[in-house]
Amino acid sequence: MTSRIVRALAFGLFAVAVVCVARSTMSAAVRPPKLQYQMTTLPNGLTVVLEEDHSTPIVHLEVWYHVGSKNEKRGRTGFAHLFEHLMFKGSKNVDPDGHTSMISSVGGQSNAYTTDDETVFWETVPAQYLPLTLWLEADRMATLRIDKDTFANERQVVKEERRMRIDNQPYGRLTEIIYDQAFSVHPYKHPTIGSMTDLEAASIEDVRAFYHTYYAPANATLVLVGDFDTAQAQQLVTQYLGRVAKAEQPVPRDIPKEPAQAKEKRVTLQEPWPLPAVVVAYHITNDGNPDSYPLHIAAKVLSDGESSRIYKKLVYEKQLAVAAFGQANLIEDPNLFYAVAIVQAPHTTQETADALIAEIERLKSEPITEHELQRTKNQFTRDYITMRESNQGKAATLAHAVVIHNDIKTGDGEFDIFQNITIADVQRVARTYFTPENRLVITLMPSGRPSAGAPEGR
Amino acid sequence: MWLCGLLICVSLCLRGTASAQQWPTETPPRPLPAHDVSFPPYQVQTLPNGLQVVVVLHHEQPAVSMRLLIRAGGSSDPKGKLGLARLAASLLDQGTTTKSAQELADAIDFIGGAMGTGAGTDLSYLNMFVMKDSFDLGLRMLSDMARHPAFAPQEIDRQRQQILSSLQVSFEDPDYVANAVFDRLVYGFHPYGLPQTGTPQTISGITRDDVVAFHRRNFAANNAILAIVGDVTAEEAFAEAKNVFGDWERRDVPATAFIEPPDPTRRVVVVDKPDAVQTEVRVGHIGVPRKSPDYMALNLAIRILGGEGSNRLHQVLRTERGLTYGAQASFDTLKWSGDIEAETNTRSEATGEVLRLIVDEFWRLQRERVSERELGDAKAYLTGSFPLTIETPDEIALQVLNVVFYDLPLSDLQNIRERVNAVTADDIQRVARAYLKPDRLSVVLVGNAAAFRSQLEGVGFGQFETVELGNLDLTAADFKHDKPAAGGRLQPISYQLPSPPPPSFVPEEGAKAKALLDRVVAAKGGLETLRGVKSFTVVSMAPARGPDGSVAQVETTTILQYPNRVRVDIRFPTVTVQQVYDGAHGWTRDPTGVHEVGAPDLRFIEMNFKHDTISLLLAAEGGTVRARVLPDVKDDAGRMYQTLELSASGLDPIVLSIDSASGLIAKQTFVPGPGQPIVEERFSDYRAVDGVQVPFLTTAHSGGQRLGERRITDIKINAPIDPALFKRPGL
Repeated sequence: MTSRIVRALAFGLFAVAVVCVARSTMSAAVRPPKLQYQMTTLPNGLTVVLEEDHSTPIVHLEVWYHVGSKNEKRGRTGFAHLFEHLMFKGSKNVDPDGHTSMISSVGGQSNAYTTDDETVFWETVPAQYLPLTLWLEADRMATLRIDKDTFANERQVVKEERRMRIDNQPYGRLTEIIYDQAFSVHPYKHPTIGSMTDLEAASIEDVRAFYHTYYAPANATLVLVGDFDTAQAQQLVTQYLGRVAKAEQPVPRDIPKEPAQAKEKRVTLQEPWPLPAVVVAYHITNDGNPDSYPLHIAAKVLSDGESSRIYKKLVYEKQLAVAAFGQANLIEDPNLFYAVAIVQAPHTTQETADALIAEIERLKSEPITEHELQRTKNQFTRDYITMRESNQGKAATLAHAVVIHNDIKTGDGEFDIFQNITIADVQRVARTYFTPENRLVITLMPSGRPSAGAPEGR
Repeated sequence: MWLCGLLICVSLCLRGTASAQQWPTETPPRPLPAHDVSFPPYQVQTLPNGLQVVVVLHHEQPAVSMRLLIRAGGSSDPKGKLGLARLAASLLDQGTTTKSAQELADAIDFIGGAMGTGAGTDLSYLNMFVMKDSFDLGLRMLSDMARHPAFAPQEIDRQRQQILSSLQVSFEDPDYVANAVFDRLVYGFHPYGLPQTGTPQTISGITRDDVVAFHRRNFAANNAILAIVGDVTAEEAFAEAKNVFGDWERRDVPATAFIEPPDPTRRVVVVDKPDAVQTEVRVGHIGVPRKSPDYMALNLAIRILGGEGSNRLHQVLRTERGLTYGAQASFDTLKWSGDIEAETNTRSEATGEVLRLIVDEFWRLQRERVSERELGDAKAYLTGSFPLTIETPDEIALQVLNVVFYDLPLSDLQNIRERVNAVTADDIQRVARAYLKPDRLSVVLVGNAAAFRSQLEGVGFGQFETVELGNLDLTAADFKHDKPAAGGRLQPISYQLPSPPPPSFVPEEGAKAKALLDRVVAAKGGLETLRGVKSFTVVSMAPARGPDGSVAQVETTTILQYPNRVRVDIRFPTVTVQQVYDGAHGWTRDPTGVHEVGAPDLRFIEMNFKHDTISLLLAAEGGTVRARVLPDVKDDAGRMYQTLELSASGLDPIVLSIDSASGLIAKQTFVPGPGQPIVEERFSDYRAVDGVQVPFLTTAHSGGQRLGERRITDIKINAPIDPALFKRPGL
């Protein structure tokens, strides 16, 4: 019902990447325990992963549909996310919004989110309500109600969501601008929440077609983590979700590839924001590619926390920026590394952009230190452990491994991959991806202000 | 339909699957047998130096979390030094007497730990997360940061600059602005009402001495709570706590003395942000502190209004109308006080409608008994969700710290189910009546005022104050900077130093109110003239409901004899009806006979006496009615009004709008009774009658509807009155 969009990032706070895997070489004792799961596939194609955890009498369930905003066609952006909302609007045995109220009436929580690559529905409930939760997910997977009124109403809600998250927030449009400038044909160009125009153009026929194409058991992965008996849970899953019919056609995977960028791109734009900002971005590889792991480390050294190079140099030492941060957005298809600095008066955007680029160039010209490498690996261990403290974290790790890596073993296996990364690996990927011809520099000036001297941008 | 053509194949190869047509019609499955819920093991000890130590064991992951709470936060900020607690807390991890900021950051990042510091309203905190093999190191770092911060001048400047820059961003964020203005409206100049992030002026004025003094005053063992949670044994944890914190000194901590938050008052502030596409809406008033015995009942009541499990606001605003992405009501309970706040955001054009709907829900919760089902849902959520709130070590620690911090019984952790289930619908109704004040709501609207200003009158909020966002001053009584900032916006931070002196916080409200009252009395005819008025005999045309139920403009004669007698003769085309009140009893006479006036009508008559302008003004001059100046208001036509609120025990606030030019009362607003929309009476066509200025035309409005008008055709002051007019005729 309420839902979030992963790419919409708050000012100054960047989410930790979903896959946070590493190991500490400081002490073998801190290696976290491995996940203990059972994975099966039902005859209708649904992938099922079960992991018992009896520490608290609750169960967490996630259903990942392998469809996100990158499956959207031009002119229909925002569709995957709008559809996520409709999944709460009733099915054969469930009234509109009944899903949410049934879950909360037993003290549970439920929600959903949509990213570029996947749409995820989840519930956490007291353990005894596992059958209810499975029944609810099955009912909407098989028999979603799609009617005009709820569709029109929900479209309004999504438009309000867009206004709240993006249009009414300082820097709310930041990622939208970066991706629009960076991509030409790949659907990563457009934001998951879509455009107002496209949302308005969406028809109920589009909704039905989308449902039949993508919301099939074979395109879904169900993960359960919590206080249950595996044999009993498997039986319940089969009872409720096993009866959902198999789809008649395979899921299309016809997503356009982004051609390589041939030369550096620099643009200056105006936005009604309080302070100027600069963005430096590079095209990188996809999640799971061998280069992606050293890139994670490069991004951490550059931009994770107050001991990262960008923070130290731009915010702490030179005070060029009020805030500076960056991330390697390693997701299913090749995406971006980008760093952002909010410029602090009286410094210029040029100085700040130069300083950002200089830090990135330094990764190529000199190797990172042993200390930095070790620190980064230890930070991964921290994130890895934090992720495993909750059932939801464990479920997301397993689901991500299955859906995006197509290999559940990566949930634990990436720990060792990170262990083996060397300083040379990091320098090699920096030289491969952080090239001038692969670079995008965006300067964002406040509009409508005396200092900018420019008319309102939009 | 979507299996067309494949049905046969499917039924052959996939036994047990079903198409939409075949999908069974069924009710939700029954739950499995419930598992026991018990609070995880924890221990609480107090060290000889007064430090309270909480240990929670949790061995699933090889990590330990630590939290240190100090019982002082933003609410301790001295006047003129707002933001001090936040600034001090932000400096705790920016260097100690033996380690620089960079050394601390490197050390914690290198061991794969994480740390954070900050200040809330009533507390400051330091958090530390480490792998279990770094437990001792982590605890020592935590102690070093809490007890030996360097507060180096260059770090203070750096943090100050960052706070100033982020304040600049915050002031562009409608959500931040709405919350800040709401807190000020509700808590007034109580510390909870002031921006604890500081303002550019106060942040600029804080010195290192201030920071050091704050730390010295509040950071002592006996003013702190330490929680250790994770993969350790209790012996290990307590032993380490003693080792590391045992020599922390105990000190006398000054007692807290706060002024009381003001009584709730109906007040609407519009913060104009012309480029906004949505309006942030906040509606609410003062609540109760965390330790209130009515905490649980009121908590459930507010959950029914807008919380998980049963959210009327969400139902009305989102599900039924699609006006918002989300709406909720929150029940904030802090150490000394609390508030009730409904919040949502909506597209600019829908602002008026959303405001009306929210206010209606406040009334409904007070007026109607909640249904058993709604209450059951809210209770089921609270009891059912409990195991969800104790999943991770940090969550468990928070639960224990909460109880220790607010000085609640430890048994609260075990018996939440019993405490929730003890609340009845009667309790909800009782607390809704006792604590909800739908007629005295504080309302904040942050958005493009031009898009909704004209809607407010129609939804009962014709009287409101407008502040330009660029001119917003959270520390001023009227929310306005003395002079608008150049360009209507906040200046870039670098041009704002040095700071102007901090504004004074307690204006001489009493003197201002008296001055304005005197002006109104003088304009009305002067104190002596008004005191000389013993009676009015007025003939007017006014709306009245006839015996057949229809409303018509009819001629009425009203005889008002001070202090408390009134007779109204209403001449309908065919019949004449009399209503008389002799100061104690009321009766009416119509063609069917003489009737005793019932209690509700008596209250109505008494209210009309209380709302009589001359009575009100004389009572205010005599001190039996309290007068208070509210900020000036400009109406749509651009006329300025001064505003005076009159209230007393037994008299709900009545707000007079005074024409700045003439001093005459242009309108008055009040709530006629519980559950009823606000009424506005507008006065015009003033004429002098024996030295008293009398409005010959009065129009009344309510809830955007025009109720009617009364036009005087003849009026006499102190005309002879036959006492028999007030005698009840024989039956």
